Amino acid sequence: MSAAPPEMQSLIETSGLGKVFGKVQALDDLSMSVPTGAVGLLGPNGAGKTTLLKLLLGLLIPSSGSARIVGQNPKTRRGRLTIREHVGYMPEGDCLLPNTTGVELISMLGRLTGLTAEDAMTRTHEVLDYCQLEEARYRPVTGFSTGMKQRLKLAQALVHDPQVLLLDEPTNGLDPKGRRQMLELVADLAQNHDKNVLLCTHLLPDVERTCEHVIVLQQGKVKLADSVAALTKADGARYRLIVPRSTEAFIQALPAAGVILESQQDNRCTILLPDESQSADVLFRVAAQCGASLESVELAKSSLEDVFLSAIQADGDTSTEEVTP
Amino acid sequence: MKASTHAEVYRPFSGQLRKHPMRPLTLAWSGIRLGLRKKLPAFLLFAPAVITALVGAIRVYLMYSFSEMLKEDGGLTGVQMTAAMQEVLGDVATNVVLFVKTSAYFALLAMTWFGAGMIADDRRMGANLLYFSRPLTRGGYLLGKLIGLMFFGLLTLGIPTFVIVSTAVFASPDWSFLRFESEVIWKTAFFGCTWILIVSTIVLALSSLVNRKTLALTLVFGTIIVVHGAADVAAELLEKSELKLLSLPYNFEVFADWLFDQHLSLGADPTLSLTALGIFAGGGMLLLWRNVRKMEVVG
Repeated sequence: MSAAPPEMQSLIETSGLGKVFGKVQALDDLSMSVPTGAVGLLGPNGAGKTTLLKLLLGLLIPSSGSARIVGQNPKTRRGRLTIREHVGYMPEGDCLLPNTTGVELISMLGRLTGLTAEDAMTRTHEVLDYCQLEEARYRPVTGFSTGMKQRLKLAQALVHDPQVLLLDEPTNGLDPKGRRQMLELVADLAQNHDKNVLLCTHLLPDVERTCEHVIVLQQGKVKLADSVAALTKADGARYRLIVPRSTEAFIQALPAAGVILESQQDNRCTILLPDESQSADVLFRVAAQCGASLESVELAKSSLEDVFLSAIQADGDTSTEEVTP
Repeated sequence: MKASTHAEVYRPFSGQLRKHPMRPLTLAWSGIRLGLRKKLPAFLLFAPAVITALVGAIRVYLMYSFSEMLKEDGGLTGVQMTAAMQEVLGDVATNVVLFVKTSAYFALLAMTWFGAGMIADDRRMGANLLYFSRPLTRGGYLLGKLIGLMFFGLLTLGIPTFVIVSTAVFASPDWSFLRFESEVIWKTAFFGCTWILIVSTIVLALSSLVNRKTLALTLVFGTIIVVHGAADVAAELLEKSELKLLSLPYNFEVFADWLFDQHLSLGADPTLSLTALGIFAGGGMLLLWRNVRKMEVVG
């Protein structure tokens, strides 16, 4: 789209953003800065992810605080309309009008965004092709499968070629193949077409596969915000070991060598070298001294799941059952 | 660069968005296309309007033709027959008004059918999220829905009226209808526009209250027909003709009689009926605005 949005320092900024529905505090004093690129908004159901997206589009009025997206404030009418020109929104629910065909729906929405009739029709066919709905384009959407409906919703978000995509649970209800296709489309858009994607999901692997940054929301608050690479980077001082012989002697000898035992299960254990520059040679020396052998020495890489769990359990809150690792 | 699962690449858009894209017309056209998708209801609802238009046009044409033939025939018999025919059929203007008033009720049926689902279905499907995540204002949304529904009103009331009035204009000798009764044309147009606008507002307002077309249909017919009947009965039983003001058809009837200088029914007060129609329209618009606002700002 040639009409570029204003210069963006960061994609989204919120300051003390809050939203209350009756007695439920959906978002609580949310202050964060979302970088450009592909960002995963992760959290259990009810964490406030959809509420945040709707606040950013001006579909909800905040109870407190403010937000900016593409440099605009959704509270003002002008800001809201500008945001909606530059943002493509894929809602979570099944919001497609029955009795319309894919082509009719997408071209109509394209024209509503501001495309000419000709451009809208051209773009409609392009995005439907891209979303693999070529042969279904003239069929009523009522007969679409869940996967096709999700891809059609992605297509309508893309029709005006927005710079920012707000995707609310795009893999919801999809089978493994459909999910893989959807994630590849999202990853392609973010990595190869410079789209800024805010992927809202409760599925950790979706974020791991597509996003560079992750923000973890829980009970309306940010629990964690960093790049996926930083969160899952190899921890140089932590190792996972398998000690098949003389395990107990090996473990007893570790403290004397300045090594901390983090966990042990049978002949498997995780240890921490307090000094990150310390070489793993010390482990072999200890093993040799106590007659143990090391079958495996592996650098421990914290997965996003570990990071997520530790982040949301830091407050003693264990309500993680709705997040699917 | 291709994504591995599909053959098509993503093509960036190199054009520009229009500054004034006339979004309400896009929305209206979409509503019209959706409404006309089912052929049988469209046929059943448009057929009576077409028949009324044809019957009205033929009757008006014949009235002028017979009148001319009998006048040419001359003599007392011709003049007497003309007078007798006028006594039975009324004058042309009265006939035009009669057919316009009849068409208005067919228009009500059609507009109720096509309009009941216009907002209710959007609410049921959550399509408002798709609309309002685009630069569409709630005024634009409202206007789009109103234009869409008024189009159906135009088809079922405007076109029959146009056909009948045109027949009167062209069939009248020496353009006499246009020269001497032209106020009927403007009054008919005014009546038709008022009817379409008020009915559209009320139908859409009631449609915005529920999230199913069937419920909206029930609500519209309940509000208009049941209230009409109940008000009529209550007015008779309690001997209070003011109760009839609750009825939309009654107020339109009084409005039409007043506008076309027809004989007013007993107890009818055009001022009160016009006020009632104003309240219906204003109330409908307020309700509509409130509900559309809730659809844009969903929480």
